[in-house]
Amino acid sequence: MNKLEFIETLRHYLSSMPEEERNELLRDYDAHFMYGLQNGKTEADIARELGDPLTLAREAVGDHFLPPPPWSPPRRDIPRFVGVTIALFFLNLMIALPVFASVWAAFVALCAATVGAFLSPVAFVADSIFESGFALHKLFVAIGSIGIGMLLLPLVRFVGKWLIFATVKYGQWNYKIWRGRS
Amino acid sequence: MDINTQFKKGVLELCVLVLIQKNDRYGYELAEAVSEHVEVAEGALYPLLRRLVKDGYCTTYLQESSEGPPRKYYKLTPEGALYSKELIIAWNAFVQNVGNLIEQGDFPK
Repeated sequence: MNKLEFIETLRHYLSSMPEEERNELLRDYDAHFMYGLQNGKTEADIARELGDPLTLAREAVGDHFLPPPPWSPPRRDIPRFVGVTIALFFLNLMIALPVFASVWAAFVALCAATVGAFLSPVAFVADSIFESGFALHKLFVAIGSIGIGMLLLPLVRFVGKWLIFATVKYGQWNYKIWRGRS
Repeated sequence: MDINTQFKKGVLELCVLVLIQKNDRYGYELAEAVSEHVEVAEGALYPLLRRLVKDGYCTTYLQESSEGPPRKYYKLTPEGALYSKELIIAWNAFVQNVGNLIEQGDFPK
């Protein structure tokens, strides 16, 4: 905070004070800055040593007479909005979309493999009846497939949970960035 | 606000009165003199000084200086001197009492 910022912030917080008095007090701070500068300090140093303007104003006028902090209504910053929209559009199109699409595709493939493993006995039965007849080694393969399916199941659950989480988070982040902080 | 800050705010008045009692001082000089011993938000001095003037414990006069703006000196009034004396007595008693309390208590050193 430099001298001007300090004085003006303080002036704002002291607005309930009679003008004469307020100007006199602000002159004291102004003089303090001058002496400090003469002693080789920087404006930022002096402001820091003086302390927080809000706290000082509270000391000077009491809690009840403090005006609300200088606050500007949230305005739509059109250029920022347009820029962010374009940036997000390209980020999503070039990076996020391919990455998410491929990861989700891999996940779907994993799901399909798991389902397939569990369905292998059905295939075995169908094969036995309609195609080549009963074959012992195929039965073992089908049983083995169920085992593989059981091994894959927790993996699918785990990956699925994280993928949904990541997608939702990414969506929320997008929305937040797009709306801007308010 | 931490406890230490509250303490300092309370004793700032005492420190300022004692300093002015020795000789007249201007704001910046006071700030330097206080922060030499106690680390405080120096800005709190000016509202305090204003209050002391309002309450009749201090008067001010301007003195031109060869460098920089004229200095606003603070001078203790007889009422101020009396008030200062009372404050010092009260402070000493307070410190003594708290010291006794800590002595008697079984606190880890």
